[in-house]
Amino acid sequence: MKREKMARIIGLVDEKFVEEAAPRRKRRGRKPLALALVAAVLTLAILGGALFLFVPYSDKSPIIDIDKYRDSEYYPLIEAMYNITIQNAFTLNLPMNNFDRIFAQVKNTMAPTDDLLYGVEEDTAGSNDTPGYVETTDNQVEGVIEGDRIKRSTTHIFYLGVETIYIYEILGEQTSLVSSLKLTASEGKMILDDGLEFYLSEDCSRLTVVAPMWDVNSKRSKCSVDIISIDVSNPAEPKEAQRVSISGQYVSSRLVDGCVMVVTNFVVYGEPDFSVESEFIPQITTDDEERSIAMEDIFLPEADAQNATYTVIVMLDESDLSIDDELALFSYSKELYVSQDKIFASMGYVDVIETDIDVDSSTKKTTRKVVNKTEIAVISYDNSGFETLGSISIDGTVLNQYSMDEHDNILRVVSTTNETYSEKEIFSGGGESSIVTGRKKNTSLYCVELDNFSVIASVEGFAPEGEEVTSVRFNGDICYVCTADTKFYRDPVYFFDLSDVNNITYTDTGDIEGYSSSLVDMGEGLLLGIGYVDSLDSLKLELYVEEGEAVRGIASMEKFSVAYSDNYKAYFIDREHDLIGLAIYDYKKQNSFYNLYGFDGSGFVELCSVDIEGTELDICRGTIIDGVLYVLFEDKLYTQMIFGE
Amino acid sequence: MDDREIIEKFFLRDESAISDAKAKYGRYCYSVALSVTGSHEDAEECENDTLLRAWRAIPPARPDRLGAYLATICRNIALDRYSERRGERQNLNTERTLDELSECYPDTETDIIDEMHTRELINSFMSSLKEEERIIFLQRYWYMQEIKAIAEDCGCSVGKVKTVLRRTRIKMKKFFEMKGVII
Repeated sequence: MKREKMARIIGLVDEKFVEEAAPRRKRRGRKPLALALVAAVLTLAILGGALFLFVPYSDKSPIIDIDKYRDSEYYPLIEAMYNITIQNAFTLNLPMNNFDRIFAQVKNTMAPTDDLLYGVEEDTAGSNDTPGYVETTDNQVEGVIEGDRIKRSTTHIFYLGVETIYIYEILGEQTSLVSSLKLTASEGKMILDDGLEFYLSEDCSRLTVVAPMWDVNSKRSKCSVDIISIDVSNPAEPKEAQRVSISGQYVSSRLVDGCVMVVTNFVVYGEPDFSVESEFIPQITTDDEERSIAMEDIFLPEADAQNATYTVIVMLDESDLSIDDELALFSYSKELYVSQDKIFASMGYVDVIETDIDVDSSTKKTTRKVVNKTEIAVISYDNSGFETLGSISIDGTVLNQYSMDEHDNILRVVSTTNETYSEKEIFSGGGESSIVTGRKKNTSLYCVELDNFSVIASVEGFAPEGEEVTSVRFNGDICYVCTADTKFYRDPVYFFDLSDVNNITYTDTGDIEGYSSSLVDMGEGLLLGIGYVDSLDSLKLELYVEEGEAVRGIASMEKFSVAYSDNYKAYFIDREHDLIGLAIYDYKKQNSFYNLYGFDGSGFVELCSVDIEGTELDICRGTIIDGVLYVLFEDKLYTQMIFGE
Repeated sequence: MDDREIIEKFFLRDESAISDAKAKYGRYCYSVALSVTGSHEDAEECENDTLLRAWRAIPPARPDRLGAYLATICRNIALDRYSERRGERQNLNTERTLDELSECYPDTETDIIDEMHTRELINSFMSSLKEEERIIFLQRYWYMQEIKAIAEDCGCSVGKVKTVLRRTRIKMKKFFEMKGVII
């Protein structure tokens, strides 16, 4: 097969290229002979140290004596972290000798994956009634505003391009740039474009920018997030007013009732020095002063902690970036769902059940069943701060925030369940062999009563065996779930009726060609799927409707040899007029376009295609104001009349 | 321990070479195998098989870069293992990566060439790339890394990584088509 052949061909590349590309190595340019000579001298000088570095540790001797930290407020955390970093060194790729201990770092595999879309409301009150403010981002929960790269008032559009804010005065096709402000990073840091987004205050006088940062000089945790308040009361002269920094990689943020909640994921790298708090406790920096999150604000899971990471949640007053409250969930993942008054944080872990059997006098056998599970912590929040309420465990792993939803005090969760069975034989002569004897993968839905944290209803294994959840959307008593068969790029869409938890029913589309990565509720029983046809360089739009016992596709549009952003915020959705807008890159034409599609009752129609310049499709945004399509892409604005007055 | 010392042990048939190689590069190989197979058990087996295969190959082989040499062996073993077990379970990331790679396959074919010439061609192509392009491309298609992990490692955006990958895949396809080869 072609793909396997190409994979082998890639394997023929020279070892120097393999070494150059090895992940987690510092990128260096090639230097001339002088540096090589210096390196040789240093190597000779530390040869004795090299022997010290590479002697492997004994399996039994601990590396750190943590007893000396017993009086520290963080001792419970140090103990939990020690158990993870030392006892589970294999899983976390941790050091087995002094060389590893000094130079290794735990890979941060957690990164933001917001990938589902509700759509974009246009010119609605949203959660803001103050004249001037217009909500442009469709948010998962009403009243809980999500950050984006475009916000607007009735008079101005604010757009976040490549590290620069652009402010335009809305004048139809005569719209012009009023001002721009390039964002700056603190010394030694650089801004990461992925995740960069902002909020506009209700009175349209302030932007709150959430800027992920990368510390190029740090030898340990490189990621942090700067929250920057920018005064735009005079749109012609925007200026930075305040700045707060939170350690960790950016996950997500929300604006609720004048409070900005920022979530980061802080990873403890390698073997931390527990006498240096910044190496194992998340930090917050205000007015150039750095401090640790207090132990009383750190939440440890009920199940055994799996990773030396924190999900950090900081609540700031949007008007002046003062900190109202903070919370760090130890060992939890980035998958947070935020409802109007609660935060649901998930932590994946495995349940291992082992059974020993004596096969005969010389052979022992151990059967092992490994089940993936998720613990979900529930935290309530309001203007005064956070309060942890409790936690629940369910089978399977949770894809992202959209896999969870609270409705009428019931938490609904969709997960991919995974079980692995293996057997290990240990021979008296000292040898052993292990084999995997079976695997099960499927999808499940659970309903959890939040008063007593108990599962009150579930639908388990509703997809064909081997499939996993690829996208989920809840809408009141309805839940839509896409599962994937990646072998053939086919997937069904399931509709769940959750109005009666004692009698949950569901219908499915059967096998549908293509693969939806985003689901949009278009209202009136319609669901829009945005995804792929038969490869990742294709685009498929498909509209589904629920009809009796079945779900039916009623319209579809396919394009090939194209690329588009799978960031749901990059899509423009107008439910009132059944419009969908998104930027695509056409490989054949070698150009980018912003295409606006409409649904005319029988099929999709391409209403316009705007030629745009740029490569970062993730940051392209479109919106329609008074019949004019505005497309903002990097440092350019494009306008086109769509509807006449 | 220095790579040369480990290789010398291989040549002297000193079995501690295996434990030395494992201590230094075991984790590296494990992570390569894990990225391909998505299974801890399979990755562990691939790591062990790699060392055994290296024991059989050295000598006569005398690799210049032991780590990369072992990782290459491990990657091949992991790909074989993944192909064998694909019917039982799949690694979504690996599936996507392989699907992307299939787009590099040339449409035009004239000459059939052997592995030696293929190796020359692919390395010629790699040399033609800018360093950043090559690193991103190999992290995805050699190391089978997730795109977001690549973006973090290279300190750039996910969008940029995707763009670089797309364009490099197209370049590679055109490169092989221009050479007029069946691979």
